[in-house]
Amino acid sequence: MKKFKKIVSSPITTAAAFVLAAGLLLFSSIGGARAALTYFSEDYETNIQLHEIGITLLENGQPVEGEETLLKHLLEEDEVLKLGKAYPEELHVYNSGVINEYIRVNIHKYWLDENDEKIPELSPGLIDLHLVNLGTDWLLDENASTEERTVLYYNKLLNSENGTVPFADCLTIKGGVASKVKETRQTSGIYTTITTTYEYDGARFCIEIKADGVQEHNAQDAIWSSWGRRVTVNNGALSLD
Amino acid sequence: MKKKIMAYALLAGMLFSASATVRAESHTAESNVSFTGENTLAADYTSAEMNDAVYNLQPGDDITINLNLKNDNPSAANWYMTNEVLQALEETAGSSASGGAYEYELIYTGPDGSQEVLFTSDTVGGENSGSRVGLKAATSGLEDYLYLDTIAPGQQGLITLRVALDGETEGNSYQNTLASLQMNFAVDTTTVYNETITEVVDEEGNPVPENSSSRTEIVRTGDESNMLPFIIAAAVSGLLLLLLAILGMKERRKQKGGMKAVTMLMAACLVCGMGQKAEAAEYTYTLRLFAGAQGVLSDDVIQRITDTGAQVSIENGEICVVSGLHYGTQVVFDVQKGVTISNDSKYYNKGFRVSGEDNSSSKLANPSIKVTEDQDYVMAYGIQGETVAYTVNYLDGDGNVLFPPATYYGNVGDKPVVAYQYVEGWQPQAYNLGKTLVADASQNVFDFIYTPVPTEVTTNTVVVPGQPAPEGAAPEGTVPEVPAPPAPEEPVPAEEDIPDEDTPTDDGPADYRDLDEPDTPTDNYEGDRDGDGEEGMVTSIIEDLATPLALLPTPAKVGIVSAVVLLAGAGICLAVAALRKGKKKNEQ
Amino acid sequence: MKKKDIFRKRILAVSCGAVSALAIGSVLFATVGDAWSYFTTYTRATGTLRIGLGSQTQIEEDYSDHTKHLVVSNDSEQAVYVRAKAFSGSRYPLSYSSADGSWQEGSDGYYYYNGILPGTVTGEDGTVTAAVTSELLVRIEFPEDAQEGDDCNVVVIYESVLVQYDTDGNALEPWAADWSAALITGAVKGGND
Repeated sequence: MKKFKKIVSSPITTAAAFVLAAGLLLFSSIGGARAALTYFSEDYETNIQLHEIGITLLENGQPVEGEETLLKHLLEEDEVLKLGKAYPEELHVYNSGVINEYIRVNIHKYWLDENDEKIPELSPGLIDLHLVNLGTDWLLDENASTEERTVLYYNKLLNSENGTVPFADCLTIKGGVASKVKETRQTSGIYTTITTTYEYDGARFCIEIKADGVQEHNAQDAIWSSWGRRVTVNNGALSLD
Repeated sequence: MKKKIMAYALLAGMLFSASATVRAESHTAESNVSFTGENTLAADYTSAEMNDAVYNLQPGDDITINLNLKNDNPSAANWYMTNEVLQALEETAGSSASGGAYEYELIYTGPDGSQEVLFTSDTVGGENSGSRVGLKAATSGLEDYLYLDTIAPGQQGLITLRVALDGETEGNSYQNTLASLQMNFAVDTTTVYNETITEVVDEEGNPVPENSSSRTEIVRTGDESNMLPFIIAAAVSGLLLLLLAILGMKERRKQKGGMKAVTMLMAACLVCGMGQKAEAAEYTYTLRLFAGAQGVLSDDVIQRITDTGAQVSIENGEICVVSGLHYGTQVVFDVQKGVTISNDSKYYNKGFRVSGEDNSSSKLANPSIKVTEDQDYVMAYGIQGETVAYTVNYLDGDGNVLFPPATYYGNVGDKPVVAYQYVEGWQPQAYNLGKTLVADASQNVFDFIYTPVPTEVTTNTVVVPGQPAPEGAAPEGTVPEVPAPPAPEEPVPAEEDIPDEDTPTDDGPADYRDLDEPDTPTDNYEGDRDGDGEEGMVTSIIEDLATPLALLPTPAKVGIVSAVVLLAGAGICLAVAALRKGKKKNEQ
Repeated sequence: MKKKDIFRKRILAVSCGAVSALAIGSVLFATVGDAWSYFTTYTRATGTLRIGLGSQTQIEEDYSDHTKHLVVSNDSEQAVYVRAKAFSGSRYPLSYSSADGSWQEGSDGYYYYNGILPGTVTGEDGTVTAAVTSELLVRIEFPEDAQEGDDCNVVVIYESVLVQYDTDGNALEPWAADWSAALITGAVKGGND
C-alpha cells in the first residue's frame, strides 16, 4: 500500500494520468475502423469559391477616395470661384470587383468653418450638385433625402469592370450665398453708414460622396440586411418599394 | 437563477430551431454512380473534371448536389459513403474569414422513397469556438465509410447534399475564399439479398418512432474484430485517470482557497476539451434605424433624446425615424430592449452599424450618438455561439446603485458596446462602454461610474440694510432621485476648476471607453470584487499568454500544439521511468 | 501528513501545468470571429473649397450745393454689382446724374453702376486697394417756399450683389442679375437747406 501511495504521489504519475486520460477518452469517442471494401468510386469533389466585391468612385474620369480628394481640380490655379458658374463635376461609379453588384450613392453637402466644424445654419441648398439621369438610371430615394443628403439607387445591375452613367455633371455655388449678411451701423455726425458683412465669407463648402455596393446574388435580402432599405430586384432591375 | 435558466432555454430553443432563408440563389448538380455488371463503380464524372469545376457563390446562396446510386449489377450490393470537407472557406490561405454560418444537409433516399437524414444542421460554423472551423464541423462524423443501404439489382438510391451559406453572418471577410468538399462511394456485394429490418419496439411491443434527425452511426465495414469492449475499457480507464488527476488538484484547492480560479479554469478547459456546443432656420437632422431582415422595432428602442423638439416615429416595426434633431443633440438607442427577434430565430442581436458598412463587432456604432449629420443605421445580427451573460451596472463612486442593473447575453469573443442611463444630476465616466466578453460571466461586467455633475456656483451677495452680510450663500442644486449627489461644501467661484480627481474633466464624459484597454480607468469603485483578485490574476496571466498565441498563424499553432503533445509524451516516458525506478529501489 | 502535503503540492504543480497547456491549446484553436453580413463594399470621398466673399461694401457721400455725391467702395475679395436709390418726400423731388455716365437708370427705379466693381487687390508690398465707383449725384430740388432751416430727410439705399455668371462663366449685366441675394441696405441720412 505504501509503495502504491508513493507511486501515486509522484507528480509525474499525475501528469501521465492526465495525458493517458486524454488519449483513452479520445480513443473511446472514435468509433470507426478502416474500411475494407471491395469497389470504390472516383472522388466526387465540389469546390466553392467566393470572389471579391469592389467599388470605385470616379470624378471626371479619375478615381477618388478619401478626405479632400474631391474638387481638387475644380478651379484653375489662382482662379476665384465664380458664383453661379457651373463647374464640370462628372461623377460615376465603377465596379472594380470581381462580382457584379448593385449600387447606391449617398451625397452629403454642408458648410464648414475654419475649424472644420459644421455650420448647420448655412444652407446646403446653395451647393448645387446637378444630378443627371434621374428616373432613367438613378432613382432618388425621397424618404432618405433631405436638404443636406441625397440618396440615389442605380436601377440596374452593374457588371464587374463596368461603370454607371453619371449621376452628376456639374457643380454650382448659387449666388444666394451672398444673401446672408450681418449689418453694422456707424454714425458720424449726421451721417449713418450701414456696413454689411457676408456670413458665408471664409466658410468652406463640402461635398461628401459615399458609394455603396452590394452583392448580386440574393440582392433583395442583402440590401435589406445591409442597407436597411426594402427594394425589389427583378431580372437585374432594382426598384424602390 | 430561474430567469437565467429560462434565458438559456430560450437561447437553446433558438439554436435548434429552423429558419428559412428566402430568395436564395440556388445551384444544383446531378451525377450518377453505378455499380456495373463488371463489378466496377462507374461514374459519369472524373475526379479531374470535378476538381476543375468551381461554383462561384455569394453569401446567402446554396448548392444542392444529387448523386444517383444505381445498382446495375445482377447481385444486390451494400453501398457506403464518406463525406469530407477538405478545406473550409475559413482555411483559405491569407484569409481572416470567421464567424460565418452554414446550413448543411446530407440525406439518403432509398429506392422505396424512404429518407434517412445522415446529417442536418442550419447552424454549422457560426461563432462557435470549436477546433473544426466552418463547414468542417458538419462532417466530423461522416469522414469514415458509413453504410447507406443494400440496393437490389436494377434499383437506385439518391444522395442529396445541400450546403447553404448564411447571408446574415457571412460577409466581407469571406471574399476570395475557397472550400472543397469530397464524397466517395464504395460497394461490396452480398451473395444473397437478405433484407434485415430492425424493428424497435417498447416493452409492450409497440413500435418506437426513430429519431430521424439523429446522425447515422458509422458502420464497421471490414474489420471483423469486435472493438466495443476495448472502447468501453478505454473510456472507463480514461475517466478513472482523469478523476485521479482532478483529485490531486482538488486536494490542493482545499488547502489553498485562492486556487478557486484554477479549478474554474480547469472546468472551463474541460468543457472546451470535451466538445463544443453548437451555438433652414437652423438645419435639423434625421436619424433612421432600420431593423433589417431579422428583428422588429418597438418604441423602447429610444432610450433618450436630449432635443425636446425631436419627433420619433416607428414605421411598421421596420424603421425608427428620429427627425428634427439639432446639431450636437444626443440620441441613445437601446436595441437590446427595443428590437425583438422571434423566438424561433437562430440569430441574436449584436448591435447596430452605419448603413452599408460592415457588420464586424469593431465597427458597430455606439448606442449613444451625437448628431452631426443625417444618418441611417441598420441592425447587425449574429448566430449564437457560446453565449454568456453580461451585466451593466450604474453606480456612484461608493458603489451605490443609481439605476437597476441590466443583464444581456452575447457570444464569447463579442465586443458589445453598452450605453449609459441618464440619472438626473449625475454623469458617467463615458456615454458608451465596450468590452470583449469572456466565458466567465462574472468578468463580463460593465460599470458606469457616475459622479455628480460639476455645479458652477456663482455667489451674489446682496447686503440688506440692517442685516449682517451672509458669509456664504447655500447653493441651490437640483436633487436627483437616488441618491442625491453630494452638494459642494462651499460655494466655488465660477472661474475656478473643481479640484476633484474623480470628477470627470470639464469636457464631460468621454464618448466611448474601451474596457479592454489595460490603461482604461474602469472606475473608482473597488467594492466587493476584491476577493476575486487572485482568480483575476491567474486568468489574466493565462489570457496574456493565450491572446498573442491565438493571433499566431495556423502552422505556428500546430507547431506549438505539437510541442505540447511532445512534452506530454515526454511526461509519460518520465512517469514510466519513475515507476520502474521506484520498483527497482523497492526490490533492492 | 507531510508526505501527503508534498503529494498534493506536486499534483497541483503538474495539474496547473497541464491545465495551462490545455487552456493555451483551447485558445489557440478558438475561432471566435466577427460576424459579417453579405458582401458589401463602400468608398467615400470628400472635398472642400473655401468661399472668399470678402466682408463688406461701403458707401461714402458728400453733400454740397443741394447735391449728394455718392461713391461706393468694395472692400471684399469678390467683384460686385452696385445699385442705388434715394428716397425723399414728394415735397423734395430728386434728380440723378453721373459725370461719366457710368450710372444708368433701371426699369425698377434703381440706378445701376454699369460695370463690375472688382474685388480688392493686394499689392506686392501688402497694401490692399479697394475699387470705387464713380460719383452718383443726387440733387435735391427744394421748393420755392422752403425756409432756411427746414429739415429735409433724404435716405439713400444702395445695394450690392456679388457678380453673377451664367453657367458658361460669363458675367451677367448688372440689371439682369438676381438682386434677391443683394447685400441689404446702406442708408444715409442727411441734407438740409
